[in-house]
Amino acid sequence: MKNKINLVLLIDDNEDDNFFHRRAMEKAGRVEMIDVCLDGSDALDYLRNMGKYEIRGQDYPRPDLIFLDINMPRTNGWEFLDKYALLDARFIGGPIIVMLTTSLNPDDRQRAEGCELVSEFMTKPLKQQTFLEILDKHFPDLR
Amino acid sequence: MQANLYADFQRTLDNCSSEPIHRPLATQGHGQILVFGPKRPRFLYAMNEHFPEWLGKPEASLWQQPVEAWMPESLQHSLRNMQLSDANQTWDPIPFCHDDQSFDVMPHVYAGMTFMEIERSKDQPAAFSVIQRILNRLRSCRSLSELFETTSEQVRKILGYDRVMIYEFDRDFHGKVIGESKEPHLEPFLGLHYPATDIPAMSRELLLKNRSRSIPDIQLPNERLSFNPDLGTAIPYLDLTMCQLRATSPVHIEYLEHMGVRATLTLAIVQEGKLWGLFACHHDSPRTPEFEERKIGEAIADLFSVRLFELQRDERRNRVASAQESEQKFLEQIRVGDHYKLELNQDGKYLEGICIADGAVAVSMDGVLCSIGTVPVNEDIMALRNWLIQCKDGELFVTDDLRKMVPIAAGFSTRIGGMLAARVSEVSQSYLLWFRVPHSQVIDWAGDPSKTLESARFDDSEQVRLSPRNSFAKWQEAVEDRSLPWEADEIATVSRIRKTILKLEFQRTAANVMRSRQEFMQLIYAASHDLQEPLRTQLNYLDLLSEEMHTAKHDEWLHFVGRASHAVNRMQTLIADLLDYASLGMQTKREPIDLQSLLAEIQEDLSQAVDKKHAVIRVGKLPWFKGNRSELKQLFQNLLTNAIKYVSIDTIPNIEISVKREGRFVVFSIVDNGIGIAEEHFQKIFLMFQRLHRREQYDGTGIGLALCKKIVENYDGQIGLCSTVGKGSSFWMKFHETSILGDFE
Repeated sequence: MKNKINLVLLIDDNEDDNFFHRRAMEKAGRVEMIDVCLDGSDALDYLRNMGKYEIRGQDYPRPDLIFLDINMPRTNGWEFLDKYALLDARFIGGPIIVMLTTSLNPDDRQRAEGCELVSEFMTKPLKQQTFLEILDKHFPDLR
Repeated sequence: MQANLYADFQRTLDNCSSEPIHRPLATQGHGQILVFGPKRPRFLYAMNEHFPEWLGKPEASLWQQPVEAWMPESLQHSLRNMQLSDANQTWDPIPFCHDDQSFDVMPHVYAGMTFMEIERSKDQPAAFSVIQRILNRLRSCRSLSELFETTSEQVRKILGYDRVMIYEFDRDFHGKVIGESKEPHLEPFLGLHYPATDIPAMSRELLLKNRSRSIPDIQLPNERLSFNPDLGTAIPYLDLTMCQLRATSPVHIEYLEHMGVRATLTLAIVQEGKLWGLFACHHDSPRTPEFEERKIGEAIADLFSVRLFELQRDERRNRVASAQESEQKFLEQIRVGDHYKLELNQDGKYLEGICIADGAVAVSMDGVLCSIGTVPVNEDIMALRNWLIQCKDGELFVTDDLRKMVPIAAGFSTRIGGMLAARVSEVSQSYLLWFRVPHSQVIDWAGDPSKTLESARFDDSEQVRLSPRNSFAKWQEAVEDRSLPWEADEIATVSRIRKTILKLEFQRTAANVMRSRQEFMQLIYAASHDLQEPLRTQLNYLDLLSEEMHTAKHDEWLHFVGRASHAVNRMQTLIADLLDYASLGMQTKREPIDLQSLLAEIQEDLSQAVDKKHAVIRVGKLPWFKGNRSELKQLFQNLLTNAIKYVSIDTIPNIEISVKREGRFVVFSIVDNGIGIAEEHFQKIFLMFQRLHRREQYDGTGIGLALCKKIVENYDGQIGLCSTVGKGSSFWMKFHETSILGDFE
């Protein structure tokens, strides 16, 4: 049985973080492909094959897992979630994990907990071990 | 000239006020007086010197014989009854015939002595119908002025004098004629003022005890009082307080002579046990009001007093009601701004309805917010405010004599009599001030003063001391700087307004404390977030370097180290910006800054960036600004830097800075041809750590515009923008004109 998920989407403007998160997931070896969007609007285009993603036609990516940063320019994490909730079912992907830069702000934590779209939240950075635990929890059939 | 009236008092120019006018050793010549003492009650103690002649008996027999020998029986009977009573008392007059003429004998007991005064009696008016008539008239009066007019008219009609004046005392017993009815040929005295010395304290005291006082003819010679030689009194002394026949002070006679008055009747108007005023009735020929007329006069004065009280109460109620309405409307206009500043959302027009005043202002640390009516010039108002700040009673300060209480007011170019001041902000020390001009400036001087002077008769040998004209001058001197006193209800209203505004300020303070606490927590979270991010990045790269120490290639190594040190740089910038932000508002010193030269300096500082992008910056004529130099520099520098930075690569930045007036505000604008900002982000960009672009695209900490907003708000201004994506942005800043100095248009 296949022990890999197909596609993970990282939505984060911090290219250093993206580098490390990609590296951790690749080291775990349990994902076929990792795509990166640099902010919320970019991610919305990506999911709907719009804007610069238009050439992909009707084949929507529908990532198995989405890691979402909150603090981003243009469309931030919360704004992304507001718009994601309105998306047509054909664009919707797998579980969304919110990544908090710090666990200090109780407002952000509360908001993440209250949001039905968010499966989980975690504090950056995403390490190999954390990634594996997330896979075990959300994809139990995969092993 | 009159012989001296007193055994122990010599009149000079200065001692008028201590003249013992209640015990002259003489009586007026129009009646007879008999006095009996307690020691030998059947023998005369004193009488007027012509009584023996009038009665037709030798003087000696009157002194030596008991009353039974010479007094008609009806009077003896009354005398006995009076002597049995020991209290001060007055009895009804006893009709008495002598030489086929009818007389009234008016008996009273005062200070242990028994008095009988004998005056001519005439046909009496029907007292009941007179009282009934005047009562109806008084009841129909709906205002004080109507009451004064009607009553003076009625009193003149009933008592038959040429002139009847209603005379009101003020708090210091200066008097004013407030009602008058007169023969047409007489000069009007309505509105005239008299100093307290014209009716000295002694006279006022006598009037409180004996409510009517008649002088039937000032030319009638006084009669000396004779004392019974057998009684052997060492110093003749007789208190004539309750006697109608009491002789008049020569000073007063002289005063009346100068006014051309021959006969007078004075009736006391008493309110709450105090002498409120007088009815002064004047006649140019002799006039003797008999007992009943005088009593009718006293009754009218009492009825007048009752109606006066009712109307004053009504007027006070009306005044309070209208003041309350103004108070309500004024409080709706006022608010305490974000920076504890008193703000009026209108021109403060209801301020003047709160008190009866000639002018009113609202003043804060920024100057005069609104001003209505007669008030000092702005500089003087600010000086007054500073004085009040120093003054320990400055929270609610009430005076009717500003120049005496506040020495600086003596130099004001506008003459102010009274001031009612309330401190309505503890933080910004704002005040509401009401002003009244000196009372002497608002007097309606009915007669021509010079004419009154001419009509006063001069005697070369004797100085004219007293005349209405002289009296007015003396009165003016006495009250020169003072205003009318502030009423208790006015002070209460102002005190209430003060409390309400202070409550608003307190609520504002509480809200501000909450808000700054929230802002502070937000700042802490945001700062820790933005500071942790580069820290984490460094840590990650260090981990990576140690993990791949042996496997990584040389250029990978360099890349990792480069990224780490980039994060360190970012952190440095962030900390520096945070410090700038935190220290905002610490510098409270404000001075005039020439924005023109400030902008030139900023352009100089930015010349590298400007040259690199070939940016074109045009600066219009800018004014001076009251502020802190480094804050203003940060403000304009951040805006200008943004305008240069956020342009697409192929565009040459074209920036214009200008200023224009909008009513009482001044608006600066910085217009660019940059990449523009979508409308949905107009609010967000001013928040702390909010960036619209990734660092790789446009560098920045997300503090710049938050800093600008905070600076602008520190000057009570507003900042905002209009923008079209792809075309450019126009940032505007709006300040109140009081922040601006100099001309720019």
